[in-house]
Amino acid sequence: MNSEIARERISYVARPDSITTSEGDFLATHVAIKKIKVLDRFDLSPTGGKSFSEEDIFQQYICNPEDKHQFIAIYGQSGTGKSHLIRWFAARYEQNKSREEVVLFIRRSDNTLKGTIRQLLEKPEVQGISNKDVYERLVKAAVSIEENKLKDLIYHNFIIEIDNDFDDHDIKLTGVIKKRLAAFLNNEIVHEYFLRKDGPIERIYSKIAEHSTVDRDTIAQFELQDFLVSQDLYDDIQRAGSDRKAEKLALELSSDVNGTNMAKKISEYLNQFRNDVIQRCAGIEPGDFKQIFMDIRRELFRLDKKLTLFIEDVTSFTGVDTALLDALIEEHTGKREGEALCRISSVVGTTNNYLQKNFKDNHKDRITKYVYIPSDVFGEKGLYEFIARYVNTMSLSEEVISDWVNAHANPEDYPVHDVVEGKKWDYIGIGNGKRINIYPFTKNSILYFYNHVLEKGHQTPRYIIRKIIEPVVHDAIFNKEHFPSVDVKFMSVNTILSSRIRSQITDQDVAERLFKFMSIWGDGTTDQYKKDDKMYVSGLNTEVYEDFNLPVLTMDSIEPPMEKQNPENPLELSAMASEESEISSLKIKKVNDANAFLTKWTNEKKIDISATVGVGGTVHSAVYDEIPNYLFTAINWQAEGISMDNAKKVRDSAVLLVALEGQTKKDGLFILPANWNSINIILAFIRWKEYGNRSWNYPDADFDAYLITSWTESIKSELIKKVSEYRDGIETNYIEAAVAAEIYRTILHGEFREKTLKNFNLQTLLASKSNKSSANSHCSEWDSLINVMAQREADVNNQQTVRKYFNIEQAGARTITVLDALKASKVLTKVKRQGLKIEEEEKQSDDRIIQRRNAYTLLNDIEERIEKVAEAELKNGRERVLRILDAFGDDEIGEDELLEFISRAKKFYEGANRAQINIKEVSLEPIRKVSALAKAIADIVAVLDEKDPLTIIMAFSGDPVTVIRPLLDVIGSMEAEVAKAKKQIAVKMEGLGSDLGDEDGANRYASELKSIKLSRQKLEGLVNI
Amino acid sequence: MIFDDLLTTTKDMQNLQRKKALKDGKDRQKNTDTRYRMLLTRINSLVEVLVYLYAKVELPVNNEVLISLSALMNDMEQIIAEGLASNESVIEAEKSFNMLQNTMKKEWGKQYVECTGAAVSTLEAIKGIAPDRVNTCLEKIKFAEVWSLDVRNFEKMSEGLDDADRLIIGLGLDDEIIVFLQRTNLGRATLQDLNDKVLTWIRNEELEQKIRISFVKNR
Repeated sequence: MNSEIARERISYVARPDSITTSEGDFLATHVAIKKIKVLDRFDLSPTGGKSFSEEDIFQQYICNPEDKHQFIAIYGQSGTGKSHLIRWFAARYEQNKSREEVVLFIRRSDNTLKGTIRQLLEKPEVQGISNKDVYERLVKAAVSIEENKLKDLIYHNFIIEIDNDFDDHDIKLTGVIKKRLAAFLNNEIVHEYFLRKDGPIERIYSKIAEHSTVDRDTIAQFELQDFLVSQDLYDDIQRAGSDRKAEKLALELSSDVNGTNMAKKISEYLNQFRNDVIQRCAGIEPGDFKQIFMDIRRELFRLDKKLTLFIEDVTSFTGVDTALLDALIEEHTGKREGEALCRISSVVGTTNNYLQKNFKDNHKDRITKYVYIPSDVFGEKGLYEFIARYVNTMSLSEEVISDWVNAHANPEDYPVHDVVEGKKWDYIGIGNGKRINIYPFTKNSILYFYNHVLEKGHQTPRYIIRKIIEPVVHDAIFNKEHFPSVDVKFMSVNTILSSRIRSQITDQDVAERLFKFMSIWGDGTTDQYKKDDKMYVSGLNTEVYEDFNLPVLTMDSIEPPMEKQNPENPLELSAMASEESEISSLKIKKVNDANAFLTKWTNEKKIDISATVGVGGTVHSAVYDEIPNYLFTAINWQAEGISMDNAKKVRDSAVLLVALEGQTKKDGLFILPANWNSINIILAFIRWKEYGNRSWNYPDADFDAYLITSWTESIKSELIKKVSEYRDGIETNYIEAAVAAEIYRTILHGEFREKTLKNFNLQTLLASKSNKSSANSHCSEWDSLINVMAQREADVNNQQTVRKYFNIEQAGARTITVLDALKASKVLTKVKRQGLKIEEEEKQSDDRIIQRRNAYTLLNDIEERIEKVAEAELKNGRERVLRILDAFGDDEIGEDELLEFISRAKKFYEGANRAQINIKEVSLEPIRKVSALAKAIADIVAVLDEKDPLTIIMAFSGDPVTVIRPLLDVIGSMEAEVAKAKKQIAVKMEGLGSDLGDEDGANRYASELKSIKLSRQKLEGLVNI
Repeated sequence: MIFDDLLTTTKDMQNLQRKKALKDGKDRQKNTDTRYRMLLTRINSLVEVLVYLYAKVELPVNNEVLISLSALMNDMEQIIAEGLASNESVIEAEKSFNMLQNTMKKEWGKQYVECTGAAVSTLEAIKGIAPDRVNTCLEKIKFAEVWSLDVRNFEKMSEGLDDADRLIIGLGLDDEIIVFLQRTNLGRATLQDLNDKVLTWIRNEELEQKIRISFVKNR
């Protein structure tokens, strides 16, 4: 390259559209196309069949050896080089035409109707036509109209067409719909919507007016999408208080199914008026263009000349294209013979889409040849040549090119620039013994850019210029000290290479440049070899590095490679470039995107990986999942003295095991600094996930494994320290709180019912009990505390913590766990000795790890309430037990007293029965278990004067109030019955009276005895008779 | 306190029960005593009757009856000798008395006839002579027709018999006829008492059909 010349010439040469390049530059950068298809019938994307070169087509068709009427349509995707080819044909033809041939070349210009009209007006053939009226209309049409005015004109002309439609077009709408459509378009909101930037009116306008910014390949017509009404638009229309008809149509257009159908119909309907509207707005008559060309042909016929017409892009005739095409398909022979028209040979460029949709059938039928330019028109060699020619042309002054053009632009005279920069760089042969130095490109870089930077469907000359040539050359000229700085995503990062570079170069910028240079310009390997006394590193001559002040590193020496055969078939370009076929390109892209993202992090020291999708999501997954999961399994926590419970809590907590420096959200125990080493580690994890599908089964996995394991080893001790500590220097101690809370829980649930903690052993602590709630007589504060503990299953989780903390998990044998009884015992003893209390200053209630902190939270919840619970429970118990004591008249009630009570009660009932006192017999069955009763009473009595809440709740753990409740009920009932009995006794006693003394038996029968004696005497007297 | 209340209330109930039992016993005793006394009254009445019949009327003494009655008296004395007369003992005594009564009823049926038959026949025979007076006699005699424990009935009977005697005497009849009527009244008249005077009187009074002759039974 000659950068001194190139810096001036780049903007002139590197133009994606061949519109404004000079002819000289045009010819100098022209690369012969060889894969053109020639067809007799339209095929949207033809494959197979014979391929023609441009020269073939030029000779066989453009030159028109048979001198016949022809209409050749040249089509292909946007940017494939249609305009360029036609221009080349026109240029070539101009040089080789016969004298009677008139060449009319309608340039693409700005691709607008007005611009096209201007071009026509410049042609002497048009200026010389007899129909001056037409000529003048064209002149007027060429006058610029203010943009907004023209847009409005277009818009309202469509409304006029609707209002004056007498159903004489192919596509009809009912009267009702037409009225609604007119009202709809007349609506202020809709008007504003349609006239918006990138809206349909601007699209149509762009084809008429000059200086528009709409994409040149846009077809100027309404599309279905233009008429789909969104909810917001509908609301705006409604809010503005529109015509009912407009609102109705808007509503219909907003519906999912009907809306689409109606929108399609309306767009097709209105497109029928497009040409008329455009013509009216442009101020030309529909037949003007046809008339012009007919006049031109007549004139030429009169002059005994023939016409060859080249139209770069027929869409620039939007609005009048039908008329134009009608003129072009008119043959000079046959029925028109009498009209004296010259022979016309038309070569018209158009897009696939336009050809398919806007050419009427009668036009298509009259196309004599279809010339198709495929998208991937270059082979590898053609691609190199294309870029080489551009680089060469940039490095040549305009004068040199002009001189060559003026000398008929013979290929053998093609000028090649003198190399100033890049003498040691690659050269490309272009035939005729010519070789062009392609600095600042290498073949590798060209292929890489073509295959990986250009998107599929955009691998056309236009995009090669726009995305490859211009940016790279610009970078080499104007940003040499940072070359290559072009933003390129790496398809696959050679981590070994990256490591090598970064281990030898400390300057991150230089390392990045070098890595990019070696990966894209070079072959991306760590190979070096000597060939022909020259050293090559990553396939690049070391002198090449020096051109950009890039260091040359020592790499792995290998034997020089054999020469590769470059395939011609462009299809193989893609295959060659992506050798990593076993890893999908999607995954490779993911990793590369992550690399770029992380690289940005190392520069900005800030990163947001909160998203779970996209590139942020890829890194998010590594940091949130892969890294902690790996570290968790890789480190033997137990061997390091850390309970697996603690390790798991840390792993599952909101605090990341490893976070990134400057990470916007989420805290981490260990911070990965924002440097290349960290990037390598993170990428290794990402590759493990993406390439290996969470295995080490992918290329270069061994290096990733080495990276990760060595990194793990380097951070292990710090990480272990972080996990084991609550704060710097303070070991986490949540288990004590957990044990204390668990002991409270067992007491409160009545699982441990002793009066002291003396017998509270490991078995009690670790026994699995389910917290079944049952009816009890505890005070509401007691139950409330239990509920508080059960919130969000805090008690269950705490229980699990206690049960699992002391487990020693055995590797492999998952079902067997061994208890670290010694440690457990030690902790339990300490907690018991402290009376389940933890000093305030020893509490770790602000532990970052929530799962550990929960133990303190639970214990705090208990401690805050336990006093009140004990107080209320004691009050509850005191009331009841005092009642019993009063009932018995004793402050010591044991089994004997209870048995005596039962006995007295029974006798009472018997006595009542005998004395016929009417009372209800209260069942004594509930108080038969006197031992339990006695114990319950004793338990309560024992703590009546107790102040220590723990002692109190332990006394009430077994719910003694429930136990004594039946006794209280019996006492209550008995009192009532005794009172009843007393009343009845009193009444009955009164009824019996007081004189119930015995009479003396002897006096009782005194008279009777006397009487008997008398009678006996009488009887004796009878005996004597 | 309930613990003590149970005890005291139970005692109260026991006391009540005892007192009630006492009261109930007294009433029963009273009933028994009443029953005893009634029985005794009846026995005494029987004794009165027997004394009258055996002593005054000079009926043949049934020693068995006397013995039974004496035993009954003993029983009656025994009943009250234990203190309070028991209901069962009184009932037993009643049974004995009823048996005795039945015996006496049966026996009296014969003895009444023996005692009053002649007189009644005689009265019937002389009814035409002094009907009013004869009826009065007969009525008096009938007082004792059914056995009872009212001695007055028997006194009435005796009075009727005596009236019958006096009536016969008062008729102014011959002595032989009077003797014959008296003896007939007593059931002792024999053919020896018949003489012509008597026979003539009988024929005159048209009593032939009203007088039967029967043999004397050996005792």
